[in-house]
Amino acid sequence: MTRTLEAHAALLSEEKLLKLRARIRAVRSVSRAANEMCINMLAESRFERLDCGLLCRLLLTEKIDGVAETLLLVRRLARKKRRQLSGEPAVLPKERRCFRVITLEKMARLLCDAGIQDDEESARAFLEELLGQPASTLASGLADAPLGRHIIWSTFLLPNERAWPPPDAKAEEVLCALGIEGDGSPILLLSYFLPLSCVARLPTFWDAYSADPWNPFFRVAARGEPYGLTMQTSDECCGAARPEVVHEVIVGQYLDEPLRYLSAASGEMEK
Amino acid sequence: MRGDRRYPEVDQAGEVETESLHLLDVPSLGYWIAVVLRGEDMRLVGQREDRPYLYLSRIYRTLSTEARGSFRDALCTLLVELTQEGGALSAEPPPEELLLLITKVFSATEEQLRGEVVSLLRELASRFPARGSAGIQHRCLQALVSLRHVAPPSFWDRQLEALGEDGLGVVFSGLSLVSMEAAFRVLEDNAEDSDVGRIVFARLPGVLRRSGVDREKLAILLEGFCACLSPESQGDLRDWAKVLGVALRASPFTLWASADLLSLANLLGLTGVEEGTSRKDLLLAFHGSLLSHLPAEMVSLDAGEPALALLTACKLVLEIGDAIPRRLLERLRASAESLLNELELRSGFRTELLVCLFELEDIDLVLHLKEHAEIA
Repeated sequence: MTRTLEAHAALLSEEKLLKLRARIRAVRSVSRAANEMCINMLAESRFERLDCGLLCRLLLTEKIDGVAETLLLVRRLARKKRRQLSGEPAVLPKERRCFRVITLEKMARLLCDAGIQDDEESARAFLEELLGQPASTLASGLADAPLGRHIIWSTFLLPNERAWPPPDAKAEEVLCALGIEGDGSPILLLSYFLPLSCVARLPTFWDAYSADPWNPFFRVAARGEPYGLTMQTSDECCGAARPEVVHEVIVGQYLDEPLRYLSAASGEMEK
Repeated sequence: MRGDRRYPEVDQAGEVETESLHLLDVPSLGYWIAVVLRGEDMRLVGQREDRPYLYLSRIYRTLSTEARGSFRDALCTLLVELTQEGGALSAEPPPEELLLLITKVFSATEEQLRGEVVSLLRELASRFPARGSAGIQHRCLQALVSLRHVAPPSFWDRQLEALGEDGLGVVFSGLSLVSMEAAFRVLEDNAEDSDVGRIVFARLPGVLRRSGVDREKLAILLEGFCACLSPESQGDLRDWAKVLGVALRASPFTLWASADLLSLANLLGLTGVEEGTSRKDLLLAFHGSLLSHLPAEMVSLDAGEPALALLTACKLVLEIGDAIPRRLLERLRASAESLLNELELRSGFRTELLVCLFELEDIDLVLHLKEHAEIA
């Protein structure tokens, strides 16, 4: 049976409860990402009793030296939990057309980690040569390449959508809609068919906070929702929030559209 | 903890203060690097990179020349410790992150500074072999390739022996720095057990990027290599080579193997071939042209390819069985026999060619008996 941390904490003594709240306040003040982590920790309703116990102990213990260590331990705990995705299965349209963005650098590192390439420079050269190639060439070249490291965060095509992102979308708009802060690095768009054997799930607190560094733009989905929703990076973001799911790492054989960069400013897709 | 180590200062934003790094001695710097690589310097909340080695390589780039020297010394010390203790150090950096950081740092330094690191990496790779692409050995070999280390082929052979099939890719890359011929040969030798076409597909841009690669020579090697692939993989690799600007000659035998008969007819100057023509019809109708083409093709190809070409021809002859024109059969058999005598064929080819010859002899016998039967 799952619960919120607050429901679990209600069973604590008054003294411990006060201490817990003080600790959470201290953590929230460290950084925006830490603040958002606390908001999500309190909003998450999928915690097991054991998870709540661990989080409370982690926040209450005297042994921890400062807030930074608390944050580190939250991440470590999340990494242990990440091994098995725990969100409810998401409701995906039958086409199961999914998309994710990734920097060229990260994708190059994935290829090296998987032993498909031997150095990052060659991996980047390989990916750049694959840009714009037919999907069959792409799927052949990246057939064994993992499209993510531990888990994959993805958006997908809703039943009323014919394509995403819109052809004239700029990279910053796409990133904003996906809740990702870009740093000007070239961004690749991966489009793939999610195999039926791979279950897309609602992203949970553990999925989000196993990452390093934490993305401050994430909100856990409420129970009963068909899928998660991205948290846009700006109120002025012109694209709507996107549906958001996580799933296990899949390989490039499922890529179904040519690899392309999201354009920086011109509004056109490169190559 | 190892004695009294000093840590660099971290500012309010959780970023390390570079100036304080300059003041650290090498042992303290090494200790701090290990802590960061383990993800345990909890003060670094300003870290934006998703991997500790990337964070440290960014910090490295901000250091003074002198501090960079200390940083490299610290990395060498950590690598020595890893070499001595086998990567099972409880208080030390994760070997993978350390090796990646070393690759980043030393690939940006002068050749002479890399010498010691390269020796250590070679020793580490040889001392701690482990199967799979995630092991220390594999990472060391990737680092050596990144550092453009030219090791003798025997070194790479030993690594392949230890790594097995998972090591084919990195061994191909390593050998390509020494000899492209040796690199392709190792893949051809393993073509039966591994998807070697995919290995070349992925590594081709990297091979081309490295200086000194003669595209024409590469095209010839690729031509020869293609013949050990399935028609589908051949097609993929040929298309990919074209994308990368490596023009492979269309070989009649690879076109035959990939059932691209219209292109084959076009190449041989045959007219009247239509869509849907079978291999058998093509061969029977135009065996004269094919026959005249075969010796010319053999002369123009280098030592490895006549056997390949001939083997393909023999196989197609066997495919159509006793409908083969006798003159073509005789020519093939003569060519095969002379090739076996004249060329030092690789053992795989030799065996296959011998098998084909035996089978051709059988067909000859069949034809012979049939002729006698008709006369009788």
